[in-house]
Amino acid sequence: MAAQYGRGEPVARGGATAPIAPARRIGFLAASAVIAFVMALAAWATIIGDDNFPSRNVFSLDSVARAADFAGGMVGAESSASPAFYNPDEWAEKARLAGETLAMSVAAAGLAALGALALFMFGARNVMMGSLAPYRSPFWTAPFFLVRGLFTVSRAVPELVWAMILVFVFTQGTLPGVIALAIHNGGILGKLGSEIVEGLDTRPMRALRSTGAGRMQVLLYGVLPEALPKFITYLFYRWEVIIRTTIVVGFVAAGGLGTEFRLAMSHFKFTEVTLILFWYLVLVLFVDIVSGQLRRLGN
Amino acid sequence: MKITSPSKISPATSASSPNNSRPAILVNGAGKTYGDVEAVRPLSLAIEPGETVALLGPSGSGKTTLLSMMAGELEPSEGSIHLRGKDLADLHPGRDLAREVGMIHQQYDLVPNLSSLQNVLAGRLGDWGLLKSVISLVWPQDRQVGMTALERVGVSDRARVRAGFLSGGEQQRVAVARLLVQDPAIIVADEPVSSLDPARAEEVMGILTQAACQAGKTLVATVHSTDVARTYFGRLIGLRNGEREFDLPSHLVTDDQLNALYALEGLRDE
Amino acid sequence: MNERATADSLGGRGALTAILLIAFAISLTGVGWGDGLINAGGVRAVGQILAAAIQPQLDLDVLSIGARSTWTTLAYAWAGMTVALAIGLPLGIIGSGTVVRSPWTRRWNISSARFALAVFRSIHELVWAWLFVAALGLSPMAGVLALGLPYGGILGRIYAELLQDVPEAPLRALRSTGASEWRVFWFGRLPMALPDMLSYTFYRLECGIRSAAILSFVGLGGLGHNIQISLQDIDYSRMWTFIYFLIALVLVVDLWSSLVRRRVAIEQG
Repeated sequence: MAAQYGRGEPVARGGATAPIAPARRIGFLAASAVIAFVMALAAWATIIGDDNFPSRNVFSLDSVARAADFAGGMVGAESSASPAFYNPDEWAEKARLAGETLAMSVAAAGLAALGALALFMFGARNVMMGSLAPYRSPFWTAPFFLVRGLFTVSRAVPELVWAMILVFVFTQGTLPGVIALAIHNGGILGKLGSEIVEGLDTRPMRALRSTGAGRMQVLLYGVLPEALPKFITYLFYRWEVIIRTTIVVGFVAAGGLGTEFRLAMSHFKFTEVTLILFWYLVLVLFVDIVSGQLRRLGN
Repeated sequence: MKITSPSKISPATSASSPNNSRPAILVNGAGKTYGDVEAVRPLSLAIEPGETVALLGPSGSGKTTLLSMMAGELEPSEGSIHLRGKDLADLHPGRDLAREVGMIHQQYDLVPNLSSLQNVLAGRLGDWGLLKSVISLVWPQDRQVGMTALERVGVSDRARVRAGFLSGGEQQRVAVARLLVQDPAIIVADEPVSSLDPARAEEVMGILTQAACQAGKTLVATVHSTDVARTYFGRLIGLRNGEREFDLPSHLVTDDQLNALYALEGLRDE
Repeated sequence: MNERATADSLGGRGALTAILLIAFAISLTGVGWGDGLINAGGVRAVGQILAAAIQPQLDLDVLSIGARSTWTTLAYAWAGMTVALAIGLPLGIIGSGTVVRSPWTRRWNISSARFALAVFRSIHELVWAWLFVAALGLSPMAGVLALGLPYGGILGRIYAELLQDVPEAPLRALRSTGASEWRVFWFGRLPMALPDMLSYTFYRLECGIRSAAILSFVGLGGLGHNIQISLQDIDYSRMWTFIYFLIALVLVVDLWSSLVRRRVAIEQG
C-alpha cells in the first residue's frame, strides 16, 4: 500500500541518511589514503623483488644497448633490407589495414551500443525497484539483477580475453575481435547508461505516471528521450577508446593493424612497426577529431 | 479555433457522473503526519463537480500535503478520500486514477527532450497499448487531438519545439493541454503559476480555469497570490498550521481573513 | 506530413542519427564475415565454455596460483598508477598553464605538455608493453612503464582541465594580496581542484586493474597469463577460475573506488 504513494518514500529516506557524522567520512578517506600508500610500497617491492624474469635489471648497460638497437631498428638503421617506409606499396597496404581497423571499431561501437540500448533502462535501480517503481515485484527486480550482473561480467573481462575465448567460437576473421570489443564495451556503456537513468530528474516521469502511463510507457516517453543524448555522448567517448583497443584485439584475432603489428614484431620487421604505429596515431587522431565534431553536432 | 474531437475534451464522457449529487471530492477525516509533525490535522470537506477551489495559506500550512492526498500522490495517515464515490485507496494507481484526477505542478511536468506535441499526446498513454505508444514515439498518433488541445491553450505554433526550449509560460500551457487530452474528471494543480512572472501567471491561470470550466471539470489548486485566487476561483479554503481557517465562496472572504492567514506566519518568520 | 512527424521526435538530432546508422551499416560490410560466422566446433565450444562457467576448477593449487597472480596483477596496476601520477601530475600542472604569467611561456607550456600527453595516451598500454619488452627485455619494469605512460597521459589531460576549470573569483582575491603565481596555485587552485582530481584518479585505478591483467599477453605474468595458458590447454574450467578471480578483484577495487568517490563528493558538498 505504501509503495503506491511514491512521493512519501524519498522524504523518509533522505531524513534517515542525512545525519552522517563528518568525522566518520574523513576517517574513511584517511584510511583509504593509508591503504593506497601501503599498497604502492608493497607493489613496488613485488615488482623490484621479482626475479623470475630474464632481464629484471632495467638499469644496466645491457638494457641500454638493447633499447638503442631496437630504436635503431625502428628507424631502419640496423636493417639490411630497405626500410618499409620507402616503399609506396607498404604505405598503401598499411592504409588499407587502417581502414579495416576503423571499420572494425565502428562496427564494435555500433554493436555495443545496440546491446546496451536494449538493456540499460532495465539496469537502473530507480526505475526497476526504487522511487520510480510503482510497486515491487520479482517480475521487475529479477531482470534488474540479471542485467546488472551481465554488465558486470562483460566489462570486468578485458576485450583481449574475450577475443582469446571467441576465436574458439567464430571463424577466423575480423568477427571475433569485433564481438569481443562489443561485449566489453557494451557492458561499460550499459552501466554508464543505467547510471544516467539513475541520475535523471524524476519529476517529468512522475507526471507521466499521473497521466496514466504504465511502467514501460514511462520508460519510453520519460526515460529514453532524456537518457539518449547523454548516452550518445558517452558512445562517442567510448569510440575514442575503442579505436585504441581495436589494434590490441588484432593481436589474438585476425584483422586490421593489430594482426599486422604482431606479425611485424615477431619477424623483427621493425621499420614496418614504425609504419603501423604511424597509421595507428593517424587513426586515433582522426577518430578524436570526428568524435568531437559529432558530439558538437549532437548538442 | 473549434474543437474537432469533442469526445476527448468535452465533459460529456467522463466529468458528468450519473449521480450529480455525489461530490467530486469527499475528504473524510483525512490527515497526514510525518513522524511527530502533523502536516494536516484530520479534516472533512466536500467539493462538488464543476467547482473551482483554491487552497490558500503560508508555506508549511499543509495545503500542498492536502492537495497531494486529493491527487492520490500521498496516502493519508488517517481517514479516507473519495473521488466521485470511489475510495482513493481502492483505485489502481495507474490508469484508473488517471481517469479520475489529473495533476499539474509548479514546473517540471514535461519531458524536456520531447516535442510539445509529444508531451501533450502523452496524456493519451493511459488509453494506448504498448505498440501504439512505440509507434507514436516516431510517428505521433492521434495527432489531431493533440493539436486541438495545443490550439486551445494558444501554443499550437510551438507544437514541434522541444519542451525544454519553451518559456515557463509556454511549458505550463502545454501541461494544461496535456491535462485536456488526458481528460480526467478532476484537475488538481499545485502552485501552477508561481514560477511565472505576474503577467504570464494571470494568462496561464485564466487558460487553466477557463478550460476547466468549459469542460465541466472540477478544479482544485494551491495558489500563492490571493488576488489570483479571488479572481479565478469560486471557493477559497484557507489553511494554517495544518488546520482549516476558513472555507467560503470567494466573494465572501474578507481582506482581514486573508491578512490574518498570512500575518501570523510573517511574525513568526521574523 | 510524415517526415514532419518524424522530425518532431528526433528534433535537430536527425542528422546525427542518420550519420550514425549509415556509418554502422557501412562498417558491417567492412567486417570480414567469411564463410559462415561460426566455425565447425563453435557451437560445441560455446556449450563447453558455458558449462565450465558453472563448474570452475577449485583445486587448492589452482586457487593458490589464482591468489598469487591476483596479487601480481594488482601490483602491476598499483606500480603503474604511481608512474602515471609521476607523469600526469607535473605534465598536467604545466599543461594547465596556470603557474606562469607570461602569455608566451604559458602558451608554449600548454601546447608542449599537452602534445606529450596526447602521444602517451594515443597508444594502447599493450602496444607500449610490447615495444618496451622489445626494447628492454622481459622485465616487470616494462609492464609498469607500459601502464604508466598511457595512464599518465590520460591523468595529465584531465588534471590540466580540472585545474583550468577552477573558478577564478577566489583566486583573484588571493592574487590581490600579492601572492606569487605559485602560491596562488598551491594555496588556491590545487586545493580546489583536488577532490575531482582524486576522484578521477581512483576511477582510473579501476581501469588499471583490467589493463594490468592483459599485460601478461606479452609475457609479464598475472591473471591474464593464466587465462591464456588455460585456453591454450583448452581447459575452460580452469580459465573460469581465473576469470572469477579477475571479476572479484575488479569488483572489490570498483566498490572501494566508488565509495571513496562518493565520500569525496559529500566532503565537497
